[in-house]
Amino acid sequence: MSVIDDLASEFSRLPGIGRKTAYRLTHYLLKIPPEEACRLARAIEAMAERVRHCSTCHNLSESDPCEYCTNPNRDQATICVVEEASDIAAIDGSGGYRGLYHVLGGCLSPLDGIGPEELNVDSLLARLNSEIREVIVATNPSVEGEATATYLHKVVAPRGVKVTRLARGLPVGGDLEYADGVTIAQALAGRRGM
Amino acid sequence: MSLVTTFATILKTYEYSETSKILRLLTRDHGLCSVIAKGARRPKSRFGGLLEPFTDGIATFYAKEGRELHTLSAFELHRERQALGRELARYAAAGLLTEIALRFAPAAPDAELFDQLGRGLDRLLAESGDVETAMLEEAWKLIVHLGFAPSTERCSLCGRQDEAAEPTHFDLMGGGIVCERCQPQAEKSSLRELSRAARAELVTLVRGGRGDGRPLESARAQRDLLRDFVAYHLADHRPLNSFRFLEERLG
Ligand SMILES: [Zn+2]
Ligand SMILES: [Zn+2]
Repeated sequence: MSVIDDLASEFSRLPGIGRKTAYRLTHYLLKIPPEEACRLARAIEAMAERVRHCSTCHNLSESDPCEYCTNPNRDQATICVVEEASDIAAIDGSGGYRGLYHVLGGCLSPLDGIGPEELNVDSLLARLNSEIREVIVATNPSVEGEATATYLHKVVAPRGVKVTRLARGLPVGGDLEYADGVTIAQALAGRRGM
Repeated sequence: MSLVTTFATILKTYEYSETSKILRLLTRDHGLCSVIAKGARRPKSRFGGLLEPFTDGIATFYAKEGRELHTLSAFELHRERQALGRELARYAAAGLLTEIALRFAPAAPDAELFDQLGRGLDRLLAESGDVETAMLEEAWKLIVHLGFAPSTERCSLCGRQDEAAEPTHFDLMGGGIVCERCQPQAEKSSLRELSRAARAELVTLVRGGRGDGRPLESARAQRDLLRDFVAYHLADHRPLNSFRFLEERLG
């Protein structure tokens, strides 16, 4: 296999990239100055080597614990639970939230065999010390996200912690990651007890 | 390229690219189909928030000859079942029914299978009695419809009528109960013990169930038997993912 085929086949393993797009990207990289292509390669290498899961909240970060877990200016009494690390940027970018985060690593899905044991639930429960007053469940407004929120309420509420869910207004079936900041901030402000 | 309009139930959704979703549909007129819903992940998508598992609607898509992935052009909501996500027993049960359809629906259109799945999901939403019993009844209806009814009144090896009031064994390999005389011929790992109650309840389940929401006495045994039977006869000996989910502590 040539190096061109090699790179194209690596690209085609990425989500949403088919064979044609993989070759289009490869040929684009052949046209740009070599140092630019090398910069991309180094960025990928550095990311793969340095980025890890935070052992407290499972966010992706170069430091462990991550910058959210170690920031003393954040509200230490609230944990916002999200499905994926990429949701943190969307919520934090909305400006409506200054507390801590916890990344579940997915949502409950019978068809994929993903139950509570496959998600970062035990580590969430372990974080519920006397300081934590509220857990905001910010799973996606989908049927899977709803089921996951139902489950979290069931296991968190008996620990004496208030459990809230983002307000409706986020489109059902949509993706938190792609909602705009204003919508997220409104959903946060209008969160309700479960 | 032809434009297709058909009743469809969304079985599963996958994220695809930054803005699109791929849907696995059970359709009434075209069997199992995969369609891409372009832009469906955008918050202001023209599909709205309808493209969710367990949702029924009228799907319109361009079916391309020889292609496996069609392009969804419209989805007119008929019935959403979002509430299944608000109770884990119902959610897990709905997962099992859709997984059976997703894995075992024939390539040819099967309108009765489509209707049966819809009735099953509706029942899981509305059931005021025991949800697990409703799940077992509705799952067996799908399996029997798919042509995998086990033999529950005659020995699956010799065909003799077996005394229904007695405890017996179920032979996964043989696909039904086995009489005492044939039992030594069956492979041990393939045999499951059935108590008198479990046997009587299995007969009822395979005939369509009681449908009254009263809990089964042998619910746990029935769930395990269903898991093993489906794994053995339909799924290359591997249990369906939904059973793994059901076995986890769901709070
Ligand atoms: Zn962290
Ligand atoms: Zn026999």
